[in-house]
Amino acid sequence: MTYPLAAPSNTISPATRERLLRLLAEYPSKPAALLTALYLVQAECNHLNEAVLTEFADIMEMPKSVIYEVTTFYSLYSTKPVGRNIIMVCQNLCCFLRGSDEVVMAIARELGIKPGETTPDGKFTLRPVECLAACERAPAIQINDKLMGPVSPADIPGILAEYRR
Amino acid sequence: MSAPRYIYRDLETPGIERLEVYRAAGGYQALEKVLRTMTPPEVVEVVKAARLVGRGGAGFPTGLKWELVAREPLTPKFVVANAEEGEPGTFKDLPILTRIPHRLIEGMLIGAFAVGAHEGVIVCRGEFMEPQRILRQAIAEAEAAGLLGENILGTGFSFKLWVYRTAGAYICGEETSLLEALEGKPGMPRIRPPFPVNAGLWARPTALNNVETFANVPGIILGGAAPYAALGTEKNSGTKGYCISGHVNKPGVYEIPFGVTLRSLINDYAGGILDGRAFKAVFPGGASSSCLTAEHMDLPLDFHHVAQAGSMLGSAAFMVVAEGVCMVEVALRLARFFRHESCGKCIPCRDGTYQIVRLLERMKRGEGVACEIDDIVDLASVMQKAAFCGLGQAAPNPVLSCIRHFRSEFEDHCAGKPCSMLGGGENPYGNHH
Repeated sequence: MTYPLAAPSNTISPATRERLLRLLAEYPSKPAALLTALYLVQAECNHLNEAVLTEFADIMEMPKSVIYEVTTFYSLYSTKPVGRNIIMVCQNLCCFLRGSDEVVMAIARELGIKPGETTPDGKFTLRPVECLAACERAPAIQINDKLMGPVSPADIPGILAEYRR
Repeated sequence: MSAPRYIYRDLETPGIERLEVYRAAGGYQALEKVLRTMTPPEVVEVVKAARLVGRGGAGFPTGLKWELVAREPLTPKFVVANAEEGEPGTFKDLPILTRIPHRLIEGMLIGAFAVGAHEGVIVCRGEFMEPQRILRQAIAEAEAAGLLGENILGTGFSFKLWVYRTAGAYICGEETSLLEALEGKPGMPRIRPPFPVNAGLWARPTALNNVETFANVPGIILGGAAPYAALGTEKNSGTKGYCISGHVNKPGVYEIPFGVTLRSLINDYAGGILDGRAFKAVFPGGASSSCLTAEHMDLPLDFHHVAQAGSMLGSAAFMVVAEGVCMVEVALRLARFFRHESCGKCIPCRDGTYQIVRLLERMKRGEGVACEIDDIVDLASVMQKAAFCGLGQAAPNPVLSCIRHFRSEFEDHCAGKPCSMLGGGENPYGNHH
């Protein structure tokens, strides 16, 4: 999946449809390709809403209910619009002990949103998460595919500036 | 502190993630030895004699697991590496995946030869984007060098390896949930038996091991079983990647023979408690384990001794809490984790994790009543006995142990006394889940 994510779209492009069909040929069964295929579609459509999943189910020739079950089970798929950059802030024990609450609040202040929300311009979603497997770098955050830590509230404006451009 | 390293050997060597550097450091010599001079049962025997046990937390003997898969007549067979590292406090596999990917690949190749598998998968948690890139690159290098694919090193042995990205669910670290995810389904645990060794991926015999377990194998093959078995304790041989984080001066992962004491781990390796504060508690096996207190400082840290002390070593994820932290908040953070990660398959876990969080949040708001402390204990007992898988059975452990060791803090919160310790007040940004 490439970052930043695309802006929201309700249709799967012919190019992505082609990529999906090629992907299906690589896997031993259609369900086995499902998680990978959902990532592909999410990268293009920003999130996986009903219109997108309906079209996707047609391409996969799988029941919509099965696809919806998988989509909503995993935390890295979203059925609602998300920002083009996803900021994940760990708030589990080790990061909490090292000050992650202050980091979450600093990001929220800087973006003018609450934890869990997306900025009105669609650039950022702030997502408190459970454990990024980087406890030795606590407090840890991950923006898109990049893991960072330890970070302090003072680092936040500089870090976000890179993604604002 | 100078015991031989098996898992992280050459970790600091520049460029060790590249095939040529790994080979120059002796990499893939164990594979050559296996393919050219050993039979599959001989490989199993060496791993058995080394007394290697699984590093994912359950501690199942690896040699026995491989023997069970090798014995199965059904084909094709699979080798799967569990890279779903996500237990809070655990970060031991990340250095292998990002810095020494070829050691994992070599370990999986040896495992595949031992069990008779020709296809393998590294199942990576969805957040691990950089590790996946590095692994795919390493696999491509190994393929180009004839170390993966058909007729490996001209010996006639074939093995195809690929990387699979799951999509964010702690439960996928549980082996049968991982297999469900790999088959494209929600990661909910399967009933066992059948065990993955008999009917795993696509109902075929599957050797499913932790990343760290595979990383031990090349060194064991090259150095022999005896030196490895001589390390550690009577019950657990070899070395372990001990993760230590939280309130210590030098958080990190340290490869140490089994049996290091808690005191030595904290003081000699992790540089002591942060800023010279006093020690309060440690969760030795991540979020699923019961906390240990100062009386356990001289406990030798292996699976057996930590279990005897009423906790579990798990993946050796030591989360250290210093004095001055509210244990009700500590319990709440860990309880929220399990509420978030419960897959919803069984009622004891789905509702139990939810109710424990609700009761702890009431206490944090000063709305709790003292008898609700015992309600949590009762609820926990139901979960431990009746939850479908290890997640739900272990979920109440950290909360119960906080109550056991620090009950007065819970009573004070129920009585509405103000708490000035870290986390004693309300969460500044509320409850986001």
